[in-house]
Amino acid sequence: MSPHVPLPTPLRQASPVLLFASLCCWLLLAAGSEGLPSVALCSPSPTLVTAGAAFSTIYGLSATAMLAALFWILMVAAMTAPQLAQPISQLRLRSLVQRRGRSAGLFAAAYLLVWIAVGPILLAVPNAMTVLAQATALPAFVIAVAIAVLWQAAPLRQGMLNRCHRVPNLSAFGAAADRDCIRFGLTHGLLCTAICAPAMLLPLTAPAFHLPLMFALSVALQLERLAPPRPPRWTWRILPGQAVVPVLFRWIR
Amino acid sequence: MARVRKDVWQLPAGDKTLFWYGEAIRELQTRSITDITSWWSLAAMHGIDRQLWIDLGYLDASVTLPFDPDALGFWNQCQHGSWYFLPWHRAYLAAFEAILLDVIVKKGGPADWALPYWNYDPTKPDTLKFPTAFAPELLDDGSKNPLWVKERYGRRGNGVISIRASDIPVSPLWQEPEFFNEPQDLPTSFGGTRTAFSHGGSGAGLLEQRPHGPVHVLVGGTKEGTDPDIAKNNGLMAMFETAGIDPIFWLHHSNIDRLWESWLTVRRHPSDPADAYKNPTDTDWLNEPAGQFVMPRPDGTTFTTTAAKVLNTKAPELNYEYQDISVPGQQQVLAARLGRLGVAPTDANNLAGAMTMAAQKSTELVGESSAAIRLAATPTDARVQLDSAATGKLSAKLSSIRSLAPASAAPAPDRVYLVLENVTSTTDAGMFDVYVNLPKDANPAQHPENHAGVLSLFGARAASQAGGPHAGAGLTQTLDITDIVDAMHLSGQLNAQAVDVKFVPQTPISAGSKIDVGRLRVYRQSR
Repeated sequence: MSPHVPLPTPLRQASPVLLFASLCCWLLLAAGSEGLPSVALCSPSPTLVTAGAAFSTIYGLSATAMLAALFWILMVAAMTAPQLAQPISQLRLRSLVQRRGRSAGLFAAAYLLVWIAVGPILLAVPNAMTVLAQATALPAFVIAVAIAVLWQAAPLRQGMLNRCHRVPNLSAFGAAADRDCIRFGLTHGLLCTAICAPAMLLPLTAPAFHLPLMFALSVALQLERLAPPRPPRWTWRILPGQAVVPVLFRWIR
Repeated sequence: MARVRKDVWQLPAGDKTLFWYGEAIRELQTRSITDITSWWSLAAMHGIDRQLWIDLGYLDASVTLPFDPDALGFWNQCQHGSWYFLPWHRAYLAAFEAILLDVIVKKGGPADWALPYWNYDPTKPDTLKFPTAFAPELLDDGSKNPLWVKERYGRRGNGVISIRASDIPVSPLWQEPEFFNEPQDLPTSFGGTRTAFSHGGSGAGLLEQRPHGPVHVLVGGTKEGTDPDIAKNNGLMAMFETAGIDPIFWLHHSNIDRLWESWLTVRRHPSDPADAYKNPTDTDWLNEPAGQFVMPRPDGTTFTTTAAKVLNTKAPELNYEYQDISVPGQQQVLAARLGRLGVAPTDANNLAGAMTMAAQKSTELVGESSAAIRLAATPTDARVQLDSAATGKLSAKLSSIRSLAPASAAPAPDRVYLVLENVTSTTDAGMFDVYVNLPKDANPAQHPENHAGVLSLFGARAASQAGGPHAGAGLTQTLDITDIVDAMHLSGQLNAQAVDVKFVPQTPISAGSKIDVGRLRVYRQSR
């Protein structure tokens, strides 16, 4: 029997282990961003071409590049680990006991792989926006806000968020079980990047507030991930997790 | 003194309860759907599909509706697949009853009128018949019977409403001590899964799964010879969007509400948790979702309520109680099970009394089907592959029961569930018998001991829409197959590599229907 402790949903559904992992990553990131200013973490590459170069550098063997890749992974882990509590608990329920660790590991690896693959693309977008900013005479941050707001309001995005609540259809046995866990991780990763990436343009285009913005964003996106599904329609409820905030507020009060 | 909701099958001769119900229905049906106290708006609160209502003749296409019929708000508010199922429907019925009472009193009827209930009691075959007063189209004086609607097609589509005891089991309800389960666990609880405010979803509790769902489907059904995939061919009761139009809907839900009151009186077993057979004390359930249970008053205004405000039915705001909330068929199930598992009859009662709950609830996968199963108009076979390590563990635990000392404070033996997950469908009006481990070529009807339960598709269509709020996740249904698995264990069949499952349709299914069970899973649970 699990105790029925009255906690607000965002806290109850969080996994202490994943929250702790996330916190450690945030601390390392905070320490790293002060001590290692030379690491090109999340700093825009000048063009798509150099973004490609950055990509190859990240996967190259130079120590700085390795560090950059490590920091990218740290950032992804810091921002997304708490959001994996729900899918991992659903995955564990649908895995044979002896396979639970393996299933969760394959899922997490596949999920991380998606983020590693989209990293260079995300890093290149702000440069495209700089070009756009020059062409339109608008600040890049304003363009980023406009894109993020439009995406937050879009029914397609709500549809993707709803899909995150779908329970995974996983095989239990053999290679099919491994394949399904990997597929679940890849699907979840793709949904997450598509849902979150436009909002992530905000810290990318505001380097001065990079880390605090990222932190605020990851809390907001986590609240949004826990919010119940809604019919996919254009909406004014564009602040991530705004529906959950009153619940949290009432609980604190 | 609280008003008494009476059993429709026990109304004394000359009783006027149904007469006044009919009178109130007549009055409310004359009101426009734009009036929130009208019969039509009350039904739309449960669900509405504008085109379907127009097709069925319940809505004039020229009327400007006061609410968006496609939006979830004051209309389309019903809570299914959720731990709010019971409190929301109680608040809904109470608001409905208050509006009817207002009309009845104004017409000179009794001030203590209360909504009756249809107690389809599996132990009393006569109560499974469709209540007589609702059946004829015309009354003795030749006027239209307000309790009648034509769209009740029954099990086979010919208008005969036949319900079997096995369609509407209630004894499993008395075996389930927990009101709710967490979303990361199986939906095995009495009242449903912890969810947000949820119009349809996959977290239905036992009461919502059965008998609630089958009664909807078996009254509604599909018109004989027509395609159940086309909504207007189905009976009103078979769909969220039309159920509230049928006067019997309210007596059905009155009984569901009564079964909740009965459950609260079930005797707690020593091995049950401290909150066994009690309502949740969780504030998320009691006080949330703030402002979203919106109900109409007789004067046409609205108010918001919560689960916490509807727990005491005798409180002045609700002011009702049931004629009878006794629990039929409450037996010493655990002691009987221990006896079957080899404990001496003299020791079984003592052992059952001494058993304690497990230190921690644990749910483990035992087996799974390899792919989705498409159900058809003819019986469909499926196979669940079993994990030998898991069945070995289960077998060992069941065997160990025999050697327990009579006063042993061991945890109760595991229960086993067959879970039907991601059940998607193009129709709501379907029902299947589910058999487990049926002998080869056997006639299912001759093997009630292998009958795991029924799968009803009430609500499946909405839960299957890929663009809907649930992203097409479908329904989840849980069948307790503990007794079947115990029998397999005792006959040495539990070491098999697989177990067979057979789905036998109980309603007409068309060749074009797409009814899929995404996965079949077998779980064991200790608690």
